[in-house]
Amino acid sequence: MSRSLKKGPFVDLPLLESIEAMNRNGVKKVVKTWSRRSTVVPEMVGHTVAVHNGKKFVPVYVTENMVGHKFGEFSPTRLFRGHPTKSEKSASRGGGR
Amino acid sequence: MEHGSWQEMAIVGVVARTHGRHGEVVVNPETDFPEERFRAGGTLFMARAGVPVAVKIRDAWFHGGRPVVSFERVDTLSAAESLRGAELRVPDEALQPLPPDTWYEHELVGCVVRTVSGDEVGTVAAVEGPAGAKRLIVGPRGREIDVPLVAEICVTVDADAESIVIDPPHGLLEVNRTRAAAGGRRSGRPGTGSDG
Repeated sequence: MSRSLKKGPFVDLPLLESIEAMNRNGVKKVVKTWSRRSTVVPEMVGHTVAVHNGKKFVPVYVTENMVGHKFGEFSPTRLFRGHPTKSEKSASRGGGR
Repeated sequence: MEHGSWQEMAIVGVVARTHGRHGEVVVNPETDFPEERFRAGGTLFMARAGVPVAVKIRDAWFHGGRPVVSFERVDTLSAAESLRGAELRVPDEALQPLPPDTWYEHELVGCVVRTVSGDEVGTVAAVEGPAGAKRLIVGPRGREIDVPLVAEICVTVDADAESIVIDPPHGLLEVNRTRAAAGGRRSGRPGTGSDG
């Protein structure tokens, strides 16, 4: 069963307060968080949040496409290092500049 | 026809197992363009004693998200068994053209990363993360720095010149630096929220 719309998205309060404080002051710095369960909300777009994966912080630059997802989805806890070094896999530059 | 050495070619798939009785194999794709790469009439390369040999695809279809491929002159189950684990490659010139602001991951590996102020951060060792949230892994393992591959941070990416200029937000380059590594005492886990 999905979360009730009445409650709104769940975000850990310290994380949301950090982001809102930066928005008020017009500052952009990396925010460390262990809160993988927090939902990405529109106030976070354009900020970089370092999400802990159990071993290290994975910096996640928040884009509009991420809104509604959980931070944990962008900070994998397992790493498969078996892929070849030279393959036909591409990487595109995200963001909106 | 010259296609360069086997080592210089790009992997597009690895044969996982046989499928059926007529020489078909299931391939684990290592490409972003499986439909174009694995189609009837297409040509791929396999290694025979370290030398690339062209193999033509007789038929191909998709099953469970993976391509099932049959090659010309591979008609039996036992012949297909010998292909298990074989790498399928294509020469560089056969790689699919990419849209702007998109690069092959191996083109980014080896690029030197500098900040806008000119300080050298390191060399890209790998590209990780899901599509749309790719990260450059800069520096040696254990002391690597993750840099999100977004226009706001990676302001200039010149794969030909092997140069990337980044404008990191405050704290990005130090996000995984422990106090012990910085010369102080290692900090404990402060809480479940954020440190901001």
